[in-house]
Amino acid sequence: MRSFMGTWRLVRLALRRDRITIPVTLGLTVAMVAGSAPALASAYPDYQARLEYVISSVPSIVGRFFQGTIQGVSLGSILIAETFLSAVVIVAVMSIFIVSRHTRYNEEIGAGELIGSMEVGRNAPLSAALIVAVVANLIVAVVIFLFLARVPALSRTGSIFFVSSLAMSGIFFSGLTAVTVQLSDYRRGANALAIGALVTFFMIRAVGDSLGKVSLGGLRVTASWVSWLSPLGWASQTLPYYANRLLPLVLLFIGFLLTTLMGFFILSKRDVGSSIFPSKPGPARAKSSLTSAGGLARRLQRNSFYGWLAGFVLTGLMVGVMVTDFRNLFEQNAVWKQLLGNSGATENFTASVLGVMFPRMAAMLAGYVVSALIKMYDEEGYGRIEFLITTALSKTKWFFSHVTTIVIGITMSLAAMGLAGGLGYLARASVKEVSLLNVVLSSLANVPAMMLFMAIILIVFAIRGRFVKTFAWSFYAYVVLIDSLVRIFKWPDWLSKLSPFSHTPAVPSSNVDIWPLIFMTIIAIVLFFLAADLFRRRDLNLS
Amino acid sequence: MKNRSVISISGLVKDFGRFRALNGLNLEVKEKEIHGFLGPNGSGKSTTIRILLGLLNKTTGQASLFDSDPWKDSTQLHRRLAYVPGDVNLWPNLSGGEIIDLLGDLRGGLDEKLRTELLESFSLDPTKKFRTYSKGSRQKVALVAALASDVELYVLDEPTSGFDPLMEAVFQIHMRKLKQRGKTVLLSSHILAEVEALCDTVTIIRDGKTVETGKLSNIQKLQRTTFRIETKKSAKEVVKLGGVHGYKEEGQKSTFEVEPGHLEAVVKLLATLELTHIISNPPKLEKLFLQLYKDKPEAK
Repeated sequence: MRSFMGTWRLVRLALRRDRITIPVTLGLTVAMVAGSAPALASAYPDYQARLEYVISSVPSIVGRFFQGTIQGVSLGSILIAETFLSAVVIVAVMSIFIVSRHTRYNEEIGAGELIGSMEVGRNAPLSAALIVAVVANLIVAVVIFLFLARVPALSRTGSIFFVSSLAMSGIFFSGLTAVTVQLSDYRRGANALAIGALVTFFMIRAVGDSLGKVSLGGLRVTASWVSWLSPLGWASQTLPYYANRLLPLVLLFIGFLLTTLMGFFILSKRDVGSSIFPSKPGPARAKSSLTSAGGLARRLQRNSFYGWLAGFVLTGLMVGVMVTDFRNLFEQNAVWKQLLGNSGATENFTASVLGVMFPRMAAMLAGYVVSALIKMYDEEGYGRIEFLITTALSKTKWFFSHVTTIVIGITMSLAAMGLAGGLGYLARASVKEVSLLNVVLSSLANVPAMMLFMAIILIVFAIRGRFVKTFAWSFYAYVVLIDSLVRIFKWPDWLSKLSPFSHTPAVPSSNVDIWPLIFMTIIAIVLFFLAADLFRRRDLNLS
Repeated sequence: MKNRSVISISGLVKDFGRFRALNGLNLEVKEKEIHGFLGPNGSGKSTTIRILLGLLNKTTGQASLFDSDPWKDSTQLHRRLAYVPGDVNLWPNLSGGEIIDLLGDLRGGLDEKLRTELLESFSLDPTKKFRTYSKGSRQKVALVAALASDVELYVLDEPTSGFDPLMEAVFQIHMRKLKQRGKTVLLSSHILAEVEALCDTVTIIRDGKTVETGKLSNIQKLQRTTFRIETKKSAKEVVKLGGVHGYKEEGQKSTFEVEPGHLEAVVKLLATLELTHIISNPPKLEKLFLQLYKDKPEAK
């Protein structure tokens, strides 16, 4: 076992380095699932309400595509539809990032070589990364279970299967990443392969679930065999709260064991720093589209922008298609009525739902702004800015090259979300209450809030660069979670008003309150210039 | 004093919180000279350079570059210089060629002929992604990007620390070419042989203070000369003369160092000792360097 020597030391190192990312992901997943459970319990308090939900969801192909198959009339069945697959995606991505960060990334930056030269076994880094990923998933499972156990309408056994499927999915993807980090010679390549697999598995399951047959008198859907080709299909097919099957969990665990063994096998054959698919060479000359401040900013932001854009489009599509399903709920449900009533416009149902849904979705997708701003800060953190601003490029111009790129990115993403939402809505709705343009505008109405969110983070960047990561992720967690927290724990309302996204009005309505949009835009722009000036005055954070 | 000053720093102080990185530093670089900038790790070389480039703001003191304030006018000044930082950490997923073009264009265009020539002489493959380069190659990318721009001043912060002797020679050839073209270079380096081979003038700093500055030949003149002799009579008597240090004797061989003002008396004495062999070495920069750092800084 000498090849595993030093594993525990590396586990502690990994936990220390992940002391922010793991708790944030944990909080996000727990809040999403555990926060939804009581909310759903009060939204669908009795059999009748749950039956309505199930009857309207079972025939929905789009519902099956994004939410999986419905399994009978119960609160558990609704909880699964509303949260399970999103939670699986979050824990999968978390597991992928943990494993690649503590293995391939160390090799990429050269720390792997240093660690390897010490009294540390060859298998120790990968073992440590897997241990951290498995433990993180188990913690997620236990914490969520503790919350779910307090909801009387959810059976204990069902909840155990729910959290086990969730954790086993995350664990499965940590095993998969143990292989992909052997394939690519840099972290992002390994992440891209693993996330590519996640998307593919999601799609296979989506197709399989969509092809499923309705049974139990229209109250449940049996997934087709295609779903069984995907590990995400296995995760859903434990059917928590309905059948509580063990076999899919075993399959996930075998998958984890096999991929892990394969990862260790390739590791034992390859040199430190090498990989199965080495990097391809790049061009010998730069295109003219790269060689300017803006060109560079766009190039650096490009790949992650495309990833987030896909997220915006899928979210828009989901909202657009489901908006019709909400009608049934709305007509019986007091909570929804109250929520929509607050949004200002009740005469047009679709417009009101969009007015409630889009700002919430925009707050979730503000993760794009955080990741883009961190990319901007990394230019300083990694010292690359030193090369740039010792050319004829000024600090201010550099600052605005990124700010403009991100603002354009925000606008394009929200336009895309609106467009996808509009098309999804028009494809599904029998009565057209709003036009495509209206849906796009409703989504675009979140541009000012998103700009303000960005501007506040930029002020922190301009005052103290090294605080920006922690602040940005905390602020993000705040805007995502605060609405649910205020509702669940009955905290004062002004706490949710601190989120810029709470000020976006419902746009496609007859009496739009346009002033919040104008105010937020003006404040954001003033803060941009203030941040630029503060940044110009401060010393750069150089090693 | 025929050439005007390109860089002029006096009494420069920089504090990072409570830590005083520079404590009254002086540095003068004239036009068309290659100026060596020496000092141990952490002595403040990079901090000085970064203040000069307007990346950091000085606490107090004077610093001017081309007779302007580097903090206020940094962008205009940057058009006239090219800089290679000590830590070359660039975009991992851009190729070397892309980075050279990007930095060149941001600096206001690069000389195509020079670019080709430099890539060839440094044997740098421009199609590799930056993350796949070795340490030496990373420095080459930054160096080619800087040297391919036609500017007045080149500021190089330990540009060759990852180079093999072959590349070191190529580097020196390109430095001499710059000198022929009448360019000014501020070269911070740890490789003293490189500084001796290239620099006309040097400034040596320690703990954020200048301890020695001037023409390399003048500085060397001020330093101790090392003697290695063989005599039939014991040479111990030289110790009694003033200005003799580090006397060691081994049989008939002895070595010692002599301060510049005392050479005549020493040589006269040696002539009386039945001298059979003598080697006298001019002070090496390395010796000077070690001497300056071992001693307590003088209160000047």
